[in-house]
Amino acid sequence: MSPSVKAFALFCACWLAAAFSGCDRVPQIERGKFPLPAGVEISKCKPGMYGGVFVLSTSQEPKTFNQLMASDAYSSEAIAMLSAQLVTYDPISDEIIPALAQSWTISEDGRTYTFKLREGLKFSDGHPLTADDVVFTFDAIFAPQLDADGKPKTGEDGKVLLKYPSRYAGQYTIGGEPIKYRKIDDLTVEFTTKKVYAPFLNDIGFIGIMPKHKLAKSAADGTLQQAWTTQTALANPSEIVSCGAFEILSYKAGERLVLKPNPHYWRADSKGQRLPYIDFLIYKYVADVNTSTILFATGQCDAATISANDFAWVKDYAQTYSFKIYERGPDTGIYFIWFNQNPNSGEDGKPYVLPYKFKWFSNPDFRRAIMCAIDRGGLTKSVWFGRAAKLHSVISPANRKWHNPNVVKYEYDPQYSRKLFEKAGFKYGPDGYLRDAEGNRVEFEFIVADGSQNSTAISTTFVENMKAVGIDVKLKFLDFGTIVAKVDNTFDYEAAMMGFTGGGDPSGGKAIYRSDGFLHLWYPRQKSPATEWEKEIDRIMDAQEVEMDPQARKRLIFQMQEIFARELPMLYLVTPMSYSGVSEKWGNVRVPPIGSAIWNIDELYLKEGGGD
Amino acid sequence: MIKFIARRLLWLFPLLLGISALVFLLMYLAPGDFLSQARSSKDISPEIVKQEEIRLGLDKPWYVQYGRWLNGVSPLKTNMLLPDSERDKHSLVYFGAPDFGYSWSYKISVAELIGQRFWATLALALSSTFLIYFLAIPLGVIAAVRQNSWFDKLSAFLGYAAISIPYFFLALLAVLFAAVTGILPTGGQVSIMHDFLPPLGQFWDWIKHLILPTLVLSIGGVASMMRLMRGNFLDYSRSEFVVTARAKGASERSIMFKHVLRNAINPIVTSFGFAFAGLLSGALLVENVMNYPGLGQLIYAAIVKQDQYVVMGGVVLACTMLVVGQLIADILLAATDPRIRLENEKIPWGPVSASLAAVLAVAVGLTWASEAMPEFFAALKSFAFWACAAIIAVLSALIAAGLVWAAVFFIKNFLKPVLRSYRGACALLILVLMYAAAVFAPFLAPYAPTRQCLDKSFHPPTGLFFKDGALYAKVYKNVDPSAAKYEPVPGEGLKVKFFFKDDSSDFKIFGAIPFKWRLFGVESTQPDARIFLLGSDSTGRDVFSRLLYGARVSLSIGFIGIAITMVVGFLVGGLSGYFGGAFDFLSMRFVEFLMAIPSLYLLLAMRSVLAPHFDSAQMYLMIVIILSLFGWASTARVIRGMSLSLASRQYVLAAKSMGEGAVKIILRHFLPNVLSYLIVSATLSIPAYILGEAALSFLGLGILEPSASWGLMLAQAQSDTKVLMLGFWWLLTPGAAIFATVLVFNMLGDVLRDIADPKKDI
Repeated sequence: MSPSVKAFALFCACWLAAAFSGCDRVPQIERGKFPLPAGVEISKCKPGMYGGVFVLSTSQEPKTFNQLMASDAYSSEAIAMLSAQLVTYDPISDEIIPALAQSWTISEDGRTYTFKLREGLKFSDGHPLTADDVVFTFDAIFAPQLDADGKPKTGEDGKVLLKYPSRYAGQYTIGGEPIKYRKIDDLTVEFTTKKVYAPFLNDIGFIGIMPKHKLAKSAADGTLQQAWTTQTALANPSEIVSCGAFEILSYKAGERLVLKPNPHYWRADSKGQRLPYIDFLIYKYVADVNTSTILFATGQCDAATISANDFAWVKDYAQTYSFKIYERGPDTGIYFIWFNQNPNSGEDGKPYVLPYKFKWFSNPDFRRAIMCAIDRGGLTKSVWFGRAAKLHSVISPANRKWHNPNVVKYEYDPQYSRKLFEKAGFKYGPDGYLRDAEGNRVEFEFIVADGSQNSTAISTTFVENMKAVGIDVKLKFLDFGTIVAKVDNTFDYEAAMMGFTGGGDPSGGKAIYRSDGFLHLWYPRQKSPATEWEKEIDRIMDAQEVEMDPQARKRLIFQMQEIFARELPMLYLVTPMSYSGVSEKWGNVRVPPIGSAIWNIDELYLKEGGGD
Repeated sequence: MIKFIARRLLWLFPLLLGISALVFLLMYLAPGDFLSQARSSKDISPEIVKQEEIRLGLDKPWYVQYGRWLNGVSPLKTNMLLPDSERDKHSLVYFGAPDFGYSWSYKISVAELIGQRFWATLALALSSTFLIYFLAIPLGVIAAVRQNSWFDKLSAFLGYAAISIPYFFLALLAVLFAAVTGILPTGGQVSIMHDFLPPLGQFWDWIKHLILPTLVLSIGGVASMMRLMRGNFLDYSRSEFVVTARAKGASERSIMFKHVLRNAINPIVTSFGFAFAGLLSGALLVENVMNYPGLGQLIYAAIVKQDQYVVMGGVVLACTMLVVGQLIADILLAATDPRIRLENEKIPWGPVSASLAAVLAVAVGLTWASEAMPEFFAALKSFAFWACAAIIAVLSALIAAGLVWAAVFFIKNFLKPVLRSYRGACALLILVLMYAAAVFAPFLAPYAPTRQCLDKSFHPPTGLFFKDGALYAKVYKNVDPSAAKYEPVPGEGLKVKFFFKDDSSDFKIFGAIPFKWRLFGVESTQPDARIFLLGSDSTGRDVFSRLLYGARVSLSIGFIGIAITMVVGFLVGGLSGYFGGAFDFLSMRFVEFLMAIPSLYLLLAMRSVLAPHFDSAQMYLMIVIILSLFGWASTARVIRGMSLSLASRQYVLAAKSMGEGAVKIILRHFLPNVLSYLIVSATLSIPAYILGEAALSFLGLGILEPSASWGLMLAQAQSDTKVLMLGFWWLLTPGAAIFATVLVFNMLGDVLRDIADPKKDI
């Protein structure tokens, strides 16, 4: 070896030694710098100890930290850690509980709600949080676009055009009018709805309170949409002030988001320690869902949702990497096949659905017969190894409060299905194919969003099942955007498959259930209900909205599900079981039946000896 | 030199303009838009969607949207294209900083967004390029110096293997390796604890994360570069100046390094620019699987979500990188080889501007017609449809003729020498068997590829045993349905029957004569009795049958694709070599245009435009055509070069002066001279098509269910983690099939090359 090579080798060795010696020593977060607010909420959880790094992986990163702009679940998930609402939902007790508001009262007529904020609330930068911030939040939602004269602009339909269009404007428009809100004093805000609206308390918990002192300027000059982007988090994280459990420490695009405790958080434990216990909460972005599951299974993440597909192997690692898998029951979403029942014609005069096919699709017996020919039990067994449940209602059994377990159920029985077809006027020819009364062979095109392995398995099984009862189905995979365009706009399809996420109050599904809804997929935006049963559903949905008695409301929702199951506009498929895994090193883990497994992340603490 | 560089950079502008317009148009034509997701969520009202549509300018026709984008990018802007609300703020023409628009999903400017990711991708591309050259050059030299030693043979075999594995599959294996062993990180750019590490630790952490993606990304490059280096080195070590140097008594060391290496390294240096630019835009699959936060991932997501300005930004960047890479390659070449001068071609301004004007006029005319005269446009569309059909018919006839010709030529000139070589005979035999299996799939496969058995999902391969002189298949019982664990039932077996009639078969020989025989199956009264030679998949379909049917797609895709590529490449290359001048200039610029398009992104865009109009079976043809649309460009370039030199040969000049037509000359005199090259390069490029189909299927853009293809089957196996974790290894057999086919084709190609060009002993 020449001297220079020796020197280089020596340098390398030194360098490696230096690199390895700098093992990850996580710094401690300084606690107790600020006194607890007067209105602090004392958690009932078991007091724990400070410290620890909690790692989560998600398949997409947040697109924005501005909740008015957020339109995807991943942004919302991150924002949820950085903000708090007036009230919140406790998934264990299944109740609405106080959050930023300490208490509330409802007026006699059920239209006015008065919220009392906690005393001494502060944002993470130490600025007080008052009724002004609440009012500012709603001002931002409903801010109109102004024309040159300073008057609100209206669109073609006469409705005011919003400066910052968001989902919230629609959600807080009740009975056709935006809710009214005003500040009574620094700690009191009052809301009034135009008519009685039963789910109001639930809905008011949708929006986090935004800091007026940070955002008022951009709200005024029209740049609120560009506030609090990923670039803000990257370059200037302290600008994004929080009233939730955490605040942003750092963000790296496409890699991770690191959160640290909000030093002004308004919850504490019974020992007077301010929550959360965790020092660092890290979201790691792993685009590939499979990789993310592998990460959890090999102990590199602290919590994860495990799909029914993966459960079979992930459980084998639970011992080695000490985590626990919680069975959460069926998923809250619903998955279904439907037939296009739109009777109208396009601009070119061609009907969306061929008239003789329309006759099949709009015949409930035809739909029932198809339903009986789908081998959902077999699918459950083969694809999910038994870890899925047949769906029977438009509300998933996971939504225990609202799910009606006693609707009509259709079981797999191809013989019975053939009989049903014959009863409905269809005939089997000697070639084994099914034909309608006029002799047309029963065949249709079936569009499915490409991508997931499960939708592939379901749709190919559907095709085979239909073949078994003499029906030819042409399977076509399209990208999601194309399917939406067909279902929502051009209506040129015959049958399709889709899913909706579920959970929460059933009035959130209005757009699906009501005949004028835009997600009433089989025939959306009807001027007047096309059938008697759709009319009945509309009536029920109107009635439940003004029904204040929870039991009576539940009866109405049950009735709606019965009609759906009977008329079968959507042919329900299966809903896989969902599982959540959480590392055993964390204390206070209480996994609720639905929703996030770590909903109480602010109460989790590192058990003694659990750290490494 | 400066003039040359300036001209090259100037060429970038029309290139970018054309490509960006094309990509923009394709994105516009693709159904759905950025708001599709919003339209289907139940808590976003249609009014809000409408407002957003107006805000984003999605309600405007594509040329207005494109004009707005161009206006933003250009430093010289006009207020005519601004939205109404901003028009009064600026004068008619004004200067402003270039603005690439902003990302609708991230709500920040595209420049910032790309800036966030650019360095990660650059680091990966640099480290991979570095590794490729660092390893490939010495390895290639060693293999050449010790020709036919064990090292040479081993490196040749490993090289074959390395270029035969689909990238994404390798990436997946790497992730699995990392997860199970814990030696290296599974993905990402740095570890999550990165922020808490000391500076040196941070650096080391970063390096650690770079290792696996670099390896995966460069392994194919190392293999092919090494073989190129070895070939060049051998070539030059036999040239006359080496003999002269030896005769003069120069030391072996100085001959090898001073004379041979200097010359042999030239083409390798040239490819640097290409390799670098390619890596920069081609890391998409690896980035996706290994979760590396680079540009590929970002742009792929943007295409899927139709976040159009991000896509445009990415395309412009990739394109610029490619042209700059080419430029660097040319400059490097000129620097290393004093014989090469960067000469300027004369631009035939007249024809160039005329054809540019024509293209522009047609484009504007079409756009105008689609608005102003819908009936005329519709008529034009159907006319164009029939014209296209006619062109395709003519082209397919040409291609068929070409295939037959090539086959005859192959049998006449190549068959004997191939069979004489041990490797060649093996490769040819395997290929013939494979293609025969694909053709007779309905006879060889025991079941239809779609036939399910929901009771027997993930069934392991059926064991066979002999009893009483007959073959029996073991019967299995699912002992743990919650994990699909099957165990054979001792003593029980189903008799395997051979050559029997199955009425469920719908196979027709030549699509006409029904043929209901199957080679083998099991005897049983139960409908669910199966023989799974290679196990079953998630809905209990027979993997062996699907593999055979999948072979029809995967094996023919290369053949058809390569036929199109070669025929079109030959026609364009031959004609431009023959004619030269303006035709040559224009067609070569068009070829450059095609080669500069970031093909994967364009493929993605085209696929989503075309998908709604074709069903699964037609999609197969569509993919071949799309793939070969890009493939022919490089062939055309080489053929042009060959024809240019042929055009000045005596016999061609003689034929010309005797009044023979262009077509005749090209077919009579050019084709026989380049056919060897065409066949060799076809054999060597077929693997690219097979791997391309697999990669597209992996992205969900290839063959679709219920059809089967190897790529699709492999992609499905990889998307289902339990396949690997629960050890359903038989679902990875399509990967083995791809590997074997590609390997055999490469082997055959090498043998053919040796035969066609005996001087080049590679």
